[in-house]
Amino acid sequence: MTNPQTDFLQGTLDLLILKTLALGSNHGWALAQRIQSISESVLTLNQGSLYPALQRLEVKGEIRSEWRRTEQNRRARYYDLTALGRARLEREAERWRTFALAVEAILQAK
Amino acid sequence: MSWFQHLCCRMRGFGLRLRFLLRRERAEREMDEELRFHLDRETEANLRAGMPPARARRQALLTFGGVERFKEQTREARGVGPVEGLLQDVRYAARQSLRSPLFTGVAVLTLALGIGANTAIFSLLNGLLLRDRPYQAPEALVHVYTSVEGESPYATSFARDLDDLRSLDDVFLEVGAFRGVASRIQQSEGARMVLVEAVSSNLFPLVGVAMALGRGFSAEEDEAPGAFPVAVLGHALWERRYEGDPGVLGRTIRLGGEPYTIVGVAPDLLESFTAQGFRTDLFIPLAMAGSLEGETDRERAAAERGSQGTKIIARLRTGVALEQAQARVDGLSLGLRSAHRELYEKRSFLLLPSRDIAIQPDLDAYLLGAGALLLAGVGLVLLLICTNLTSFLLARGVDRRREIALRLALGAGRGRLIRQLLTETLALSALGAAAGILLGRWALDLVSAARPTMSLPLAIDTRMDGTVLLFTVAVTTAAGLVAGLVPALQSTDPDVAPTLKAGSEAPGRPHLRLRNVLVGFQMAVSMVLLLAGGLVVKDAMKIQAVDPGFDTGEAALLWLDLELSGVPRGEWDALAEALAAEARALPGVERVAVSNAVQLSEAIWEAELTLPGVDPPPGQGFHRIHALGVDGRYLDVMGIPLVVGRGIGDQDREGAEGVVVVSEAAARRFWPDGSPLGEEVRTAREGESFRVVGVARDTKVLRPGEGPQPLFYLPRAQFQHRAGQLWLVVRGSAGAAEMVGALRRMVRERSSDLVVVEAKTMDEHLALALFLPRLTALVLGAFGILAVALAALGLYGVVSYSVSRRTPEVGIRLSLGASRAQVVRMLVRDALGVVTVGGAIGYAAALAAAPLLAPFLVGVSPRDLMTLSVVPLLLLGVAGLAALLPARRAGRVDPVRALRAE
Repeated sequence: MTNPQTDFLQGTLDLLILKTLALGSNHGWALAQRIQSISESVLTLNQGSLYPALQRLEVKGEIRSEWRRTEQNRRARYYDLTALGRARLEREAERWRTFALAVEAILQAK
Repeated sequence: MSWFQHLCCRMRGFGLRLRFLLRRERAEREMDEELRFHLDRETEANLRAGMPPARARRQALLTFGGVERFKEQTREARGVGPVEGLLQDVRYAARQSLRSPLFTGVAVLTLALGIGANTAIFSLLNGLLLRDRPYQAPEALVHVYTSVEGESPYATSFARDLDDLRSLDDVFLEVGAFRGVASRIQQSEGARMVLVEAVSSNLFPLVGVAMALGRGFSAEEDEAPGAFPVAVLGHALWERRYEGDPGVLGRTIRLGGEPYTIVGVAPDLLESFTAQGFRTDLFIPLAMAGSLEGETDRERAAAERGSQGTKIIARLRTGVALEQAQARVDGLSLGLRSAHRELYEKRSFLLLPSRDIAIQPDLDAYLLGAGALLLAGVGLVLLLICTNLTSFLLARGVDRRREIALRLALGAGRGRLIRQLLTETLALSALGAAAGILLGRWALDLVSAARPTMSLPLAIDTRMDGTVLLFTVAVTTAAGLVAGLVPALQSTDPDVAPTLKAGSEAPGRPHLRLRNVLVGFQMAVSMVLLLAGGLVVKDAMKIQAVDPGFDTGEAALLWLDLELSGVPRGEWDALAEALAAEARALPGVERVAVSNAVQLSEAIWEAELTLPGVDPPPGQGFHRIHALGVDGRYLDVMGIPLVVGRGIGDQDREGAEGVVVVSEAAARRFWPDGSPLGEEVRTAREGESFRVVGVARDTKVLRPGEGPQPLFYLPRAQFQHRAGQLWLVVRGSAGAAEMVGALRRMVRERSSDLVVVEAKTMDEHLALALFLPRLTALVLGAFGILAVALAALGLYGVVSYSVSRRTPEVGIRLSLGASRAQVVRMLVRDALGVVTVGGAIGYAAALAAAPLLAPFLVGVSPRDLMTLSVVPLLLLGVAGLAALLPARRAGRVDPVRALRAE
């Protein structure tokens, strides 16, 4: 049942959601689509795992939700980034970049 | 980002949690709608990609992953976790409990018994021994004892010692002293004895208690002996006598006949400096103690170092260690020894932290030991109760395994499930505790109501304070965890759960084995409890059945304290005779005897005597022998027969030759080789001489449970020892209670100054002596019966359960030709195997622990053969019965039906 890729994803799911929402408010399904398409399907995840993560972030106050109408006039819950979430995103992104650079440096080492 | 924004975001998150908590249904509905929306979109996308409808839906679900699992995770992510989770768990627990009301009822009831007993006994111990007195910074307070070599390590000091100790001001910030004095006050129903503590003026500030009303004593009032008759009322006396009237200050109270001005009221929590659990009625300045005790100027002048009986408390300077202070007082002891060789030869000071002392170290240790044993007993009972619950829950866990396996599969965390199952037992034990606290309170009230009247102002404060509450919470939590943890771990074990999914007939082996271990454990615990209980109960019964050696038929007893009543010493004999004559004239009274105490009362004193030709105990100059001062009728009225010689007669007056009658035990102890008649007895101090004229049959002297004790009877007229204590023993055709009433009236009419210490019937007198043994027997007997019942219940449950599991096997055996009797035998044998192993372990443990009980047994050896053989047989019998009933039911199984069920 455990899959290294999903484990890896668990830790970074928050970051992916925050980043995706930074591009504009959206509902859960659209978020899943965007994450998949932006990552060029390298990261496949159970779409369901998005929802516990969204719930967690909302409780932390990093995102907020609101029921709105879609273009097809259907009721859907839309998520938005809050100021707190934006701050967290910046911090996390910075940390990721440092981490990635460090790993890159190690891999480049001769 | 500003802190304000930050705060807003946080607050919104918090508000959200609150909303989830309050609007659970709505959160659920919205979650469902959101997920449905997601799946619909995904299905539409798949349809657009050209999939057939059924496949499009299936593919959407597949991409999504387990819907229920994510729902559960989302619920958890709402983060209301602790609170919401608890509410959920409690709801769940309540549902489960309501589903099986019988189990819930039995569980709560037994837990209430167990927790109630634990709380009651602990609060008793707490009130008597553990609770800190209401002193400021009590860690810096020390008691200063005088250790007297060969006598007592915790004796009292001389009054002058206080001054010497005060001079050690490099280690002591302040040294104070007190002494206990009995006195009398007048009440509407006559004079009453009160417990007075004479305290140095600095004692209240030294321990740091503030008066509830008025003031304490000034330094001036503490100096000149007898000059300042002022008093501080104890809180209880203030409430009782003055109904808590704040206008009491400045009023006068007659103490021992002398007027004292009330200057203050002590705080409620200050019980007594002498002993925890007692209430001091009045405090007076230390300088007044002599006047109250009737000390004459000559006596005062003669006492080189002041009177003995002074108890000392000191406060250490900040940063001074106990050892440091002890070293300084050791120096002082040496100095005193060289200055007053005679007095201080065997004396030295001993410092002990006041916090560790409730009454006196040796007595504290004894009481604590007894308390710890009792607590261990009720603790074991509670453990039995818990294991019974465990065993039942294990059985039910098997029935619930499908539900649990399902929830595990649906993604519920194991931790969450364990928490849920534990909440159930914790809720049960919380309910049990609530009922138990009430039950314990009720039992304590019952005991104190049943307590016979006694002259000591014992008032143990068993109120629930922080310590008791903490104890109860800890016991309750422990009970809930102990009962629930094993079933919770077991039924949520992922390795077991799948195998259990197979069906109800799958082998529940691990459960069965575990339950067998539990039954074995229960048997072991029951065996220990029952053996200990059996020994104590037998001991108590033996004490009760014991013949005290005197006539216990209807009689009235009256105890007056003439000294306390302020009757001059010279008038005691005349008053005694007058009262006896008056009592003899009361209607229905036939015989009246006079003495200074009676058997089995705390009034019996030891006399210091020398017996020419008989060596005193090593290291001592004289014998200490219990002695009664009696008139010529005492032996006759008490019904104590003479074995040899004559009794005390009317001719044995003052001035005539001194005579003494000794008990058989005294004769055997002191003159083993021949008749004691004609032997001489001398008082150690005055050297008065008495000749043995008779031997009386043995009686119990102090306690009903003791072995034969030497006792001397001396004529009251010749022996002035404790002559201020006057007892009348009255027998006649009138009822005992009636005679007691008549005696009380007679005393009141004669003088309102006379202090009646006790007036009671012979039955009441014996009840007081037998109170503790009776109570112990009752409590431990009840625990023992409870333990057997619990063990039987547990065993019955386990055997029933294992029988029901083995029904198919029984069916096979029966159809293969086994007889029903054989089947029953097999089932019982299997059950008793566990019982025997557990019982044997318990037996060994009890034997090993038996010596612990020895100090508390009087008439029975801890290795009493009867108890040690009857108890195991009894327990085995009960266990056999508990196993037999369900086994017989299995034996009646219809083999065809049993096999079909398979």
